[in-house]
Amino acid sequence: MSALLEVSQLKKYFPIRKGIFGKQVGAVKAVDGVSFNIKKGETLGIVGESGCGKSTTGRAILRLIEPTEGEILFNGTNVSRLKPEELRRFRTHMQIVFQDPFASLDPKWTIQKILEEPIRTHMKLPEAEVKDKVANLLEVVGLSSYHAQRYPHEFSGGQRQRIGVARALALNPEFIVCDEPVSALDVSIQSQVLNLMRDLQDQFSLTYMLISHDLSVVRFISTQVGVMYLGRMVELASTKELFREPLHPYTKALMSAVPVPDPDATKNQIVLSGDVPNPSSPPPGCTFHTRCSMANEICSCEAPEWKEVSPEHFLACHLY
Amino acid sequence: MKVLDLKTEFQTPAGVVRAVDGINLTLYPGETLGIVGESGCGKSVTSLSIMGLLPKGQSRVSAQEIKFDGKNVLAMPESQMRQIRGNQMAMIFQEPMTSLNPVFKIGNQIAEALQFHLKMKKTEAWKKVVELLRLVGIPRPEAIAKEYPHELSGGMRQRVMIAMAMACNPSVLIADEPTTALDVTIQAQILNLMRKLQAEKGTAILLITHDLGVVAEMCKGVVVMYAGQIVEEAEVKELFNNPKHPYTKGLLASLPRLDGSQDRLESIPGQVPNPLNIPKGCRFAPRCAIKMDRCDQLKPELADLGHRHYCRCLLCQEEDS
Repeated sequence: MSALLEVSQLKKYFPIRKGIFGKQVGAVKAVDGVSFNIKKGETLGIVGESGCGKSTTGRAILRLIEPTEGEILFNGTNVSRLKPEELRRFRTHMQIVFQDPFASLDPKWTIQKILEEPIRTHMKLPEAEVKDKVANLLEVVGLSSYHAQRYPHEFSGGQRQRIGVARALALNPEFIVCDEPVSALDVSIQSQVLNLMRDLQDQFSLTYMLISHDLSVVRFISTQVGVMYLGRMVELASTKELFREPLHPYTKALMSAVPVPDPDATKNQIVLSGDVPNPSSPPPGCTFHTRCSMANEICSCEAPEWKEVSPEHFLACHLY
Repeated sequence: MKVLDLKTEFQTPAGVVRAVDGINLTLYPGETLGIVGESGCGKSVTSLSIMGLLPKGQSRVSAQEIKFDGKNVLAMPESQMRQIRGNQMAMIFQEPMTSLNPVFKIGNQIAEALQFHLKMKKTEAWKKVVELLRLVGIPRPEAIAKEYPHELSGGMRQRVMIAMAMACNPSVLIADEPTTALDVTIQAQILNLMRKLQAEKGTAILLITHDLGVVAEMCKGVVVMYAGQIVEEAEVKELFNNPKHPYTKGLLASLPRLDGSQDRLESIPGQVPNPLNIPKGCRFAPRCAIKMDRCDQLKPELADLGHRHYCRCLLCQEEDS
């Protein structure tokens, strides 16, 4: 199957300005040359720690944040070149589900109004059909049509996230960016929402990009996983391969650091020393070398190349 | 430390909410006891009640006893409680961002406890501060002690919190979601540090968390809470290998696993009951997969299954008797 989304060399630098004239004195390289493809109907999971640029990547693809550089090809259309009005219309194809279900719904709007907005903006539908569509959307995400007249505060976190998903589905998009969709939810609710996301994917043949810090969530729902560190992608492979044989030292450390809910499990934990470096002045060479136990001389002076080490398994590390 | 029949109530405009309803806990020296449960189950309120940190006006804490080192903490006047709090009983809070005072230097914040409880001189306290910061793995402790909280990362701030809590060598440490706000690689560092300090000082830790993975790695005993009550209690291996309560089973089954690939996750339907409107019988009955008719009427007791395993379910209770 061909790729639905092709991203190459995506960059987003946030300028650091100082002084009364706002002179640019540096840049935070939030995303620094990230490339990947997502095939239709598949899910790319992006994992990494806070500040690694995973959310910025997601938003830059939708151009909710203007990328500094890079190409985003969606079904052959170059999203990064679209003019504002074209972009607005194009948004029907790509949607997003936000992390915080408490902050992403307008508290003064009823659910009806929240779900109607995208439909009214983008589709010319008769009044009755809009109502039907909203009722239908609520049912699809496991709520009932009578919920439409309520306000967001009347719902629990899990239900709000369902509403967030319904809003993203309103325009029948092909691609949805899910930015930490379950990290604000309790485990028993989290599993409900994850199951729902899977069902919807099958039902509407959706393509997801899932951004999460939780490896087990990513493993459950993704077909392909990319690991990010300090604005760069360090490893990208199919979920099966990545979890069977992680290659990058950071991927290995990340996986071993996750607490396993099994007291009998024996594991060799790799505990990284130190903190994530400041992204406004990342270390030279491989950005991970300051915390890597296997770093050589070359790691501190030369940035490793992004290469395909085996089919569909990409890596940026001098060791391989 | 021993807690018997702890009840905490809050006065709200809508009525009295009993957030914690009859909790018994026993914490042994050098051991870690975990409390797990979802948001709103009363796990944090339990810890704040034990520490006597809830606002007096709106809350009412009652218990048969909260015994610490042979003394009943609950009956103590506030002045005496202050001598114990931060000294023999210390606490680590969830949010390392908000639980440090932003306008004081880190060193001064830690030194405060030393000067107050151990009557140290200022220079002596400062020396101890540097030593403590080094103990919790902070690089350049002399310089960091002179910095303000905003100059540190989340992981570093949590280390400062731990240094502060460990300052007076407490015999009981209550850690309320100590790693929830941190990234996994930093979480691994902090958990390692807590384990190391416990082994060195023999501190008893009460670890409150929603993360079953953290429990499996850290704890000896586990208490599962639901809607203000303990629903199951056991040693960690027993709980994970042989869970008895349907809620514990559901919780364990709903976790996405890192090892195998699951096609579907189990989930517990519905949501935690409103604390103003607690079900009459078993509190978990409305969400329970194996609910029986009598569950709506009868309140299950915490049944003793032997080997420190307790479960609050009518099925266990009937088996027991």
